[in-house]
Amino acid sequence: MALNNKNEILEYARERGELCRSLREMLVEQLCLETDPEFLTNDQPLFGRGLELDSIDSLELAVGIFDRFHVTINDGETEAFSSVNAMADYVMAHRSQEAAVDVSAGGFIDLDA
Amino acid sequence: MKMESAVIARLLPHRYPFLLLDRVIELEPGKRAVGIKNVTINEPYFQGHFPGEPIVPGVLLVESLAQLTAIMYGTADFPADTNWENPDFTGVDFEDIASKVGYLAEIRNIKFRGLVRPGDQLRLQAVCKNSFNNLSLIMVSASVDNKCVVDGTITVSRKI
Repeated sequence: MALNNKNEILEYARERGELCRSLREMLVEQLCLETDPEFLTNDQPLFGRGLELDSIDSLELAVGIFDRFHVTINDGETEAFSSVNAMADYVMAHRSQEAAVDVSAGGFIDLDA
Repeated sequence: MKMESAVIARLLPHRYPFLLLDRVIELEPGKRAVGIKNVTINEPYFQGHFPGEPIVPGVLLVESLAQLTAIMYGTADFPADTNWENPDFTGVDFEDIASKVGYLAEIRNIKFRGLVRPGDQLRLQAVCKNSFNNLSLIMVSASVDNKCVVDGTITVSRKI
């Protein structure tokens, strides 16, 4: 993604921050963690050391990401769950892809909006 | 569509006294299934659960739903052109399918909403909500006379 000016960079940072916050909330809610979402950091490893999640939790996260962001995580792409940032990368990459598909399928972008 | 117990027994590794599914009446392989379990006073567990007050143990209701789930995902391996109204099952590797039935990995938000007694016919339903790798999250429910007796979600694994 090419960011051309300060406003675009700020907008991107705001969107990214918002997405990570939403992912942390989803994580706590979906896995019934007794942790405040604000205590999680975006780079904290989720599996192994760190939050110590396991494969059953990764299914729950796949469900949470699908329900909230309509993004499907494919089999084998376990690294998408390695941290909140990794999930954000995956959601951003695939959300824009799905939006592109919608446009080509007859959607339109209102340039005046 | 109707799948009888003899076919079910070829698709599941479970045997007496733990084959807890009598018939499958609706099936979308890999997506959803509806099955029947008839409860009779001859079930072995009524000896102790409870003397004088036979009630199906809740965990066995969950097991029935898990077995229906195994049929739902096992049949996803059937040939794509299988005619489910009148199947002949040629080219189906039953042994392979039965050997891939996995384990219950999680039981979540299960609510038992009514007692199930001898004479009741359970209508079991399993709907796949999501899958990732060898795990699937399944929404399950069962009813007797159109009244829900159990619902919730389970996670099942599949051997690869």
